[in-house]
Amino acid sequence: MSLIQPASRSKSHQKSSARRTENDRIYANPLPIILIEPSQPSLLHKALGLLGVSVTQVLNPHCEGVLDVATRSVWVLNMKDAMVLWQRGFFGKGDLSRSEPSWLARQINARKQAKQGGMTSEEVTAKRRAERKQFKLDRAKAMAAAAAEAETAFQEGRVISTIYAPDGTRMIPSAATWKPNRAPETQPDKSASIAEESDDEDEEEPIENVEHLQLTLQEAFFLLWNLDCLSVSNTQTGDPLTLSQVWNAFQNAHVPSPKLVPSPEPPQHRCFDNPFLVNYVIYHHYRSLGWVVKSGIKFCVDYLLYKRGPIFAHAEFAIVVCPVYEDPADQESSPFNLQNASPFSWSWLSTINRVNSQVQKTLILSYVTIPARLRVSDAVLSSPACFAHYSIREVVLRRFIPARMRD
Amino acid sequence: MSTSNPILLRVSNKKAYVWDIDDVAKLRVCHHICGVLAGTLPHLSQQNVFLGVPLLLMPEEVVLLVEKGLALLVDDKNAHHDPSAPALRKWDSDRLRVVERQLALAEEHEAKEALNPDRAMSEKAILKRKEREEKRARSVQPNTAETSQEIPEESLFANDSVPNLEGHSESLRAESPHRSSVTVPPQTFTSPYTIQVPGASSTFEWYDQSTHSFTTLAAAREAGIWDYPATPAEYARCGVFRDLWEQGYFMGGGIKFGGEYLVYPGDPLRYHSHFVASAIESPEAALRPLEIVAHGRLGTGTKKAHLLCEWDEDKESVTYYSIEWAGFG
Amino acid sequence: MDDALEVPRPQLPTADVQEEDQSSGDEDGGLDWTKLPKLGTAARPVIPKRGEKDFEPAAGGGSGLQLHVLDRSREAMLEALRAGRSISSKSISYGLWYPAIDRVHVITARGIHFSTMGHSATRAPPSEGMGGEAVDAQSNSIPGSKLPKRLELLPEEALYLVERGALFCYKFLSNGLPLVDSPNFEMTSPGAPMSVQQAFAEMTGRDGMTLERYQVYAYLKRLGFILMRAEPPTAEYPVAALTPLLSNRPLTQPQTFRGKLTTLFSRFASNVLSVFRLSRRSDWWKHLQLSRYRTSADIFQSLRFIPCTYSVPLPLPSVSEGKQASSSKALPFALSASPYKVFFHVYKPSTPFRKTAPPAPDFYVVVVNARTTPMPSIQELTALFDILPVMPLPPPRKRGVQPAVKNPPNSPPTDDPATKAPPGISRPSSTPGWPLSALTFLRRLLFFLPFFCPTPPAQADKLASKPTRPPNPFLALKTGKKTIVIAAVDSGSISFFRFGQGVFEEWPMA
Repeated sequence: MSLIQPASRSKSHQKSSARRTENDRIYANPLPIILIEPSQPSLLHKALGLLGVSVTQVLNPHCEGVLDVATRSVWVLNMKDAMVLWQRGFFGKGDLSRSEPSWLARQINARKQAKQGGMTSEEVTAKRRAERKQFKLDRAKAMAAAAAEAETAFQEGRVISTIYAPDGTRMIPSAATWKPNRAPETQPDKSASIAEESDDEDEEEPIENVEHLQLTLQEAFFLLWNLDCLSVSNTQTGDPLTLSQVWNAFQNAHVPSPKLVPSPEPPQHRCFDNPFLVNYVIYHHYRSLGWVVKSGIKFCVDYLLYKRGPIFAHAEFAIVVCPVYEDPADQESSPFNLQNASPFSWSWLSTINRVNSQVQKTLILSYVTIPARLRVSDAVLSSPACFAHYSIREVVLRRFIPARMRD
Repeated sequence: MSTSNPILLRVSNKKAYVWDIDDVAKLRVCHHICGVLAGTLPHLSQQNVFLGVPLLLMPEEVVLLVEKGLALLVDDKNAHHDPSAPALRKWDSDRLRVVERQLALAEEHEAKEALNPDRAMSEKAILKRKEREEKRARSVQPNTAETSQEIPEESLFANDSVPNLEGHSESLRAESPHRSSVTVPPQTFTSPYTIQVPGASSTFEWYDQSTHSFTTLAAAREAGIWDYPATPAEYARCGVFRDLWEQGYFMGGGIKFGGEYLVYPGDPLRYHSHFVASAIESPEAALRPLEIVAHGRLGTGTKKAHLLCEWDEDKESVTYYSIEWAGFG
Repeated sequence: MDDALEVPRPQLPTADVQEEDQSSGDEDGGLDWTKLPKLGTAARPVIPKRGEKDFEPAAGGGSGLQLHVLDRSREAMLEALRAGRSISSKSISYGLWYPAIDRVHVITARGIHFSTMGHSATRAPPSEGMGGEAVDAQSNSIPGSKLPKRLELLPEEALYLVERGALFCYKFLSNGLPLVDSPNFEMTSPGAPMSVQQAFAEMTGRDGMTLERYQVYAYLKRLGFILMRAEPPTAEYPVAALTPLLSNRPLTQPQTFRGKLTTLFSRFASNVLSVFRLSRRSDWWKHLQLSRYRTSADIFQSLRFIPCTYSVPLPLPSVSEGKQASSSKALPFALSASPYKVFFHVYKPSTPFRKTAPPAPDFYVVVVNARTTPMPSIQELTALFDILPVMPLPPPRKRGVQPAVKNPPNSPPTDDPATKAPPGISRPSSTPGWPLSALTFLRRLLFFLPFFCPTPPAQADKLASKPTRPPNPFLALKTGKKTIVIAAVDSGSISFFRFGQGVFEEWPMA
């Protein structure tokens, strides 16, 4: 929807509220599985209810994916599954899109726009960037001219304004006053010719979708382990992996190996600080609290937390995962060089805080304790039972501005 | 301004300060060194935007200035000797002479004003002033606090505990043999005069840096007053700072922008910085992908490109890489 | 699509931080000194905005005009720097600096500064052989005898007043030079007169007062804040009240043994509860039995089994198992040497303040040197949070009066999430049988056994259901339960950050 429409800024209020309702409907379910309560509970249901057992009908989409070790992700190739996972809980991202797998829709739209002589959103962006560049050039030129003018005046002992020219016009354009120069209008001709061309091949071939949905290992394990709504198969063999094979393969994916094939055998050395486990703990924690958890790489953090989902509002919080080794010796002997396992510099803090406050996000440092091997046996790591041995402590970070805190 | 005389950097607690305003100017104009103003401006003491002396120098600036022979380090604490009795007597008599001259001038001025009907104060103003004076006289009686009305009750203790007040001093002196508590309030001058709290110590006869100056970092280090740079990271910062400085740039602290320095094409008073520079310890140091994201994003927001300045201690050279948002896709 | 929407939006009116970031104080040298009022003109100076600057100097170091404007800017700056510290003889205070005890004895106190600065100190009369030096009363006080008190300033207080030109300081001369019976220090100096330069050299680096701490002190004082040392430097230094003075909040923390027991018990109870929560996952290889849940909120809730809390102590590497932690590094748990200590208690200018009985601070401020100290570790932060009281939520902005989260009267304030959990979260109250996974938790419970005091478990349930849910979770999430302010100082530039104790677990979104 929103994505595939050309960006025209003059949307009526009505239309946007209609879209909101539409989004509320499409993204109504926070999880891929849907629970349906029997509308008219039978006597049996009631009896079971008294026993503390509720019997709800479960709609399980049973999505399928394959593990790709090179990208450390699970690929969902079936578009129907992909859309279920995206629309119910915003799991995964399109490999050719920024978030929602919309490549096909964008292609179709581009073709349509080309026919009508309109512009795709990509073209709008390109045009805006070109204009911006031109504006900067014009401004630089105007500033140079103003400086030269002022310099001459200074040499002659006159005083002039560097902002207004003698005729009263503003010398240096600002983003608000600058207008693109509409001189060489090549655009219509070009699009007209394209339109003509495409008229010829009216029955063009349908575009084949080449995009798939990528799930991070954390997302995949969350869906698979908790909700049983995803199965993951081996890229090589095509066979579905059992839960314990997935458990092994996801941890092995972080161990450097020359072969990029899933290894479902138990890892040689199980480590509490395997990046898959550490990140899963954080991912699971915020998911269990009802947040939509997405990658934070574009804002140089580990995760972003959305209240309902990226469709509805901006991410409110930016999560930095900080592993804490209970026993520093484990850190020294670790094969993984986990980021932020030791306190980072103040300069880095102010960098990431500045980046995130620029986009109105609050920075959260999420400390995950990594159980000491001396205290907790490695054997615990053979199953997800190990998750109960980690713990999380959150620190909210904001700048403190004394001048605003005076009353 | 001559550059021949090295500037004296006053070092205490491993920090280097400049107190002389002419030196502040000289550093900026001749040597492109800005430092950070770290003191309260006495006439604008309720804000943090404009600050005053001392000028606190970044350690990299100090290292550069000393290595280039442009400055000396002075052990400031030890350069403050105790004054001798005659020196102190002289200081007192000089001070008193200034006070007397001040009072004489004021008296002369008042007399003149009284004579000049045009410039005399309106009757109302005179009345007001009289009132004010009376009030002051009254409040001085019980305890000096001319501001006593403004002080919450418990703080009166502050005055009570100071047994230097008229009326109280006698009795307090009796029960307190403590020498420094028995001073009697100023009686010498009844009219107010202006006192200057001295800023720099150079006016003191007993301030003498000659035996406490160091022309090299090694000597200062040996004397225990200076120890920068000590770590590879600090050496890298000094190397990068020097290299940028030699290319004519001005530098300021860059911690708030995610780097070590802000790099200016000219005096920061008139030009914006173009780069945020971070010093990288060695060519082997790892660079995390998130750093590239952060610096790219930050640069776009602040119109500064990020400079990764890689210091090679063996070759004593810097390699620069800049990061900017490309805007693809 | 979110990406397109999440490009920086500096024009937003809510962009508080942005505004501050762009403010003139942020970029050093970005100031236009020419806009400063000339000395002795405007009584109430207006801080000018950053002036217009050029992109770069013209070739050769700048054009004629550029050089002219630069000269003017420099001159304006230097002129402002040349301003002296003049004060009327009727308003100046006098002090005597005793380097041996790091204190200034105030001989004459004038002006409003002393309503918030300085403290009373008992000093024994000078003993022979001490060169006339005053001695700390504690060391040689005679029981029963009434010793004289005097007003003393800490190094930062004295330096600040000297810098502002409000205090004239003399250095006590141990050679006994002046003037022991000097009757009038207006005529004869009672010691060596001190310049601001000398005060900087002598008073920083003393008694914990690093330059970084002094800079934070002066920065906040200039804005009108009141600052006290958090750690009393002497026994006579006034100690702040413990909790924020809220009308319907008990004034004292339950620091009693009984209070501690209650706290420990509720922690224990919350651990038992988390074991129960785990029960739904008795077999870790099984998926959730989805048909048991009625709504997705139920599912989310049953997924909450990862401990997220400050109430459980950070596990330390066990020494009892015979193997010493084989780390060559210093253990991060050596917290006593940590630079992360609350150094200042800070009060807003508007907070009613009594110097002799300071209220609970508005802010707890830690100062570190950003060049030499990395961020605090979670152990250091936990230690800081441990000593802080729970802060009330600030009133919501732009809305009607909202009730802040408060503990019900008489209930002990605890760190336990169970007591603060909104009623929306119904914790499972009973479960048939103890799951196997609970065994792993028994080790955790052992932490508490020595203190365990049997109290009816019903009490924990009661505690869990008392408070009401305030309206805006984001405010609570962004504020955190406890807040510490850390000032990181890098060569004179101060960055203030608030570190809040996160409460995400208490505010689920589903």
